[in-house]
Amino acid sequence: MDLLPTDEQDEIAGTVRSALGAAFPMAERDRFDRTGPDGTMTAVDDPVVDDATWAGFGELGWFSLGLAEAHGGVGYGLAEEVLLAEELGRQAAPGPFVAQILAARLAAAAHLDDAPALAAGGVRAAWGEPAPAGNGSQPATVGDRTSGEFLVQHPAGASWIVIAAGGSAVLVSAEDVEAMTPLASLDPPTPMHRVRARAVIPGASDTTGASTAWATTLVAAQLGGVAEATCAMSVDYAKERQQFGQPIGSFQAVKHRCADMAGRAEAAITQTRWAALSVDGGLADAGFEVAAARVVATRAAVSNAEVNVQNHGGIGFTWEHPAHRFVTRARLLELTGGSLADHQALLLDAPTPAA
Amino acid sequence: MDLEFTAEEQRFREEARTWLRENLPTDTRPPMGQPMREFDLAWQQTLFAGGWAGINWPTDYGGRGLSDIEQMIWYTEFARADPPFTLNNSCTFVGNNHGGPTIMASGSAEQKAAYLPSILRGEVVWCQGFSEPNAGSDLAGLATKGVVDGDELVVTGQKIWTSYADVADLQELLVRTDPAAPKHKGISWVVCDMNTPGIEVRPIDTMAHHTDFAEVFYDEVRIPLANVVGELNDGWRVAMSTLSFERGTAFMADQIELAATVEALIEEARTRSDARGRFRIDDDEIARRLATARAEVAALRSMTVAGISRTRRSGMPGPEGSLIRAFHGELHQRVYALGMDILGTDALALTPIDGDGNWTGPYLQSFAYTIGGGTTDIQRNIVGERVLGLPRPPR
Repeated sequence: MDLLPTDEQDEIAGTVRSALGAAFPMAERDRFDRTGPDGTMTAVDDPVVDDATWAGFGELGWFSLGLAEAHGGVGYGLAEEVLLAEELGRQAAPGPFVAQILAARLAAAAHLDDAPALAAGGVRAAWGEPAPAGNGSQPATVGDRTSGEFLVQHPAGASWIVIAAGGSAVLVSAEDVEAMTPLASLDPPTPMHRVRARAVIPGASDTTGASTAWATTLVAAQLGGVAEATCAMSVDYAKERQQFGQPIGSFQAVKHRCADMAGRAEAAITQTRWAALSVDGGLADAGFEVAAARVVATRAAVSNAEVNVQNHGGIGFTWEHPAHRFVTRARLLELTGGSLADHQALLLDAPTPAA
Repeated sequence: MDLEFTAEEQRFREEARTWLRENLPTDTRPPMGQPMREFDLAWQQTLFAGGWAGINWPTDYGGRGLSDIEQMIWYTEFARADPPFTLNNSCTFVGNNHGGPTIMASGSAEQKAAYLPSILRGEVVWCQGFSEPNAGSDLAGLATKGVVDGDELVVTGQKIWTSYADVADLQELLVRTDPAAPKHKGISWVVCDMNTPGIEVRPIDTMAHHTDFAEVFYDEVRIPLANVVGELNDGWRVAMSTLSFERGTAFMADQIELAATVEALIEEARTRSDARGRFRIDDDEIARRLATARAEVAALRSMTVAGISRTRRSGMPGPEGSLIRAFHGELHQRVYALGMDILGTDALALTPIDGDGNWTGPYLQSFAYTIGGGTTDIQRNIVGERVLGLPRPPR
């Protein structure tokens, strides 16, 4: 039993870290934004990550790390995908990575013609989140007939939409849904479109809960990455920023906030790795561990991202500083693949773990 | 990264489970005094006879020579066996988790032979003499003096917050042996026989109305110099190694028991109704707090295993233990506060601080979890300065 990455796993994470850093330099993030000043929308019809870059990630195996070799994947497990997803969170990277990974898995299991192209990133996927219109409208249904309204993240250029809710994950063709209205997105590099599905028959589906658990773990890992990156950002700033003739990190008010951030990040990262290993090992408590990871990681990411702004003072409130990108990313992830309340309910319903 | 237990670890688990089923006491633990001491030592003797004492202690000192993973498996099996008492709520705690490990790390061959076997065999009770009225968080400011006189130290002063002082045989004691040196450089770590003339123990009643707590007064108490562990005036380093053990794995038992406590609390909420006849778990706020508690105890376990993994690579528990300790202390309090909120008017009835189905006594006792062994503020300082590398405050 060991909860630290092996050298090989560290190498995977290191490769992802530098490739993401090169593709999405933090200083040039405005280039990937689709929400402009005062809620304007820009270039909503262009994919945020261009086709060549996206296919380049596919070539690195990022969309099929945990897919079995027999299905055309790299043949690692969810544990390695979690290390990738942690990096996505640490850099608040643009792009629908979890949608692409899930689409490749669902398509491979259903032997769709598009399966290899989804794993390679040549055919693109978007993420659909059930979004009831309110006013007593019917809740969305996800399954053999998928109906309702959905908020689709990264719709531009996507042929498929992954929807995961209530233990069911489906892959529906983008041609089968009606586009309604584009949204000025809270998270600037994550454009969204409201769409409507009327009894759409999905191209592939998984009602076993395995795909939703997979997606939930990857969302938790990104949240863990957000929690860790914002902690590191605060710590770096607290060492360097001087007030009253001292680095502000020497003051307990700041130091203790940083220590709390470190505790929350550690809880999120270690529990999510545990969850991934439970899924990879087919353990009976995997559902419990995944829900626990999502709950802890959500709270860690949202708290740390918020506290990080405070630790930076005035500069943290500016557009120029990236602190806000982690706040909106944490809020986006909190509502991707269900809400915190949904996962708390799942967790409370899970049987007592065997320990 | 893997969650697999080796074949040996599996076998160890099965042996532990079988043994516990046959040997776990069914009696209630007496809450204080000599009956408590006898109960705790009898259990330690039973553990030793069964081969379950000092699981992660080296075989040279009577232990099993196994890893922290086996130690964790043992705690897990103990909690699962539904014991009538809490593992760490024992007067054998300081010997097993402080005094013993410190002597292993810093003691001479003679000291190891003199002190270690009797701890595991359940022959002695240790207590701690670190804090003083004016040296709490600022432990290095301690003033109890130890004056060298021939081959003895003559100790005069006062210690406080000493659990089990009234029933202890030996004490790990910090004294100032060089008042002229900088405060961290003039302290010695010494083994004090609690039966030496000049020692007076006065009990302290706690907010949980529990009296296993005391202050200890020393009036020219003569302790052989041979009882100094490590070098004279090197006691701060020796003491810090003790505390890193405590912050590392000593509370693993509590952490595992906390998971069982949360499960018991969920059961309470499922079966207990409010004044309107509604089950407590159907209150959305209660349900969400229970779910969060479940998630957090799972994360605490994951953090602990990550800590074990780290210690295995570095050889010594690191400052990351303080991260777990602070998280654990506050989580423990949140769980018992949630218990109070679930109980309704039953929260107004005082229960013992230990044992199944008792919530209000443990709630009062839970305030100790963010104070004892270094307050959570001190743990946050350690995390900030030694894990994150933030600067120390201006002096």
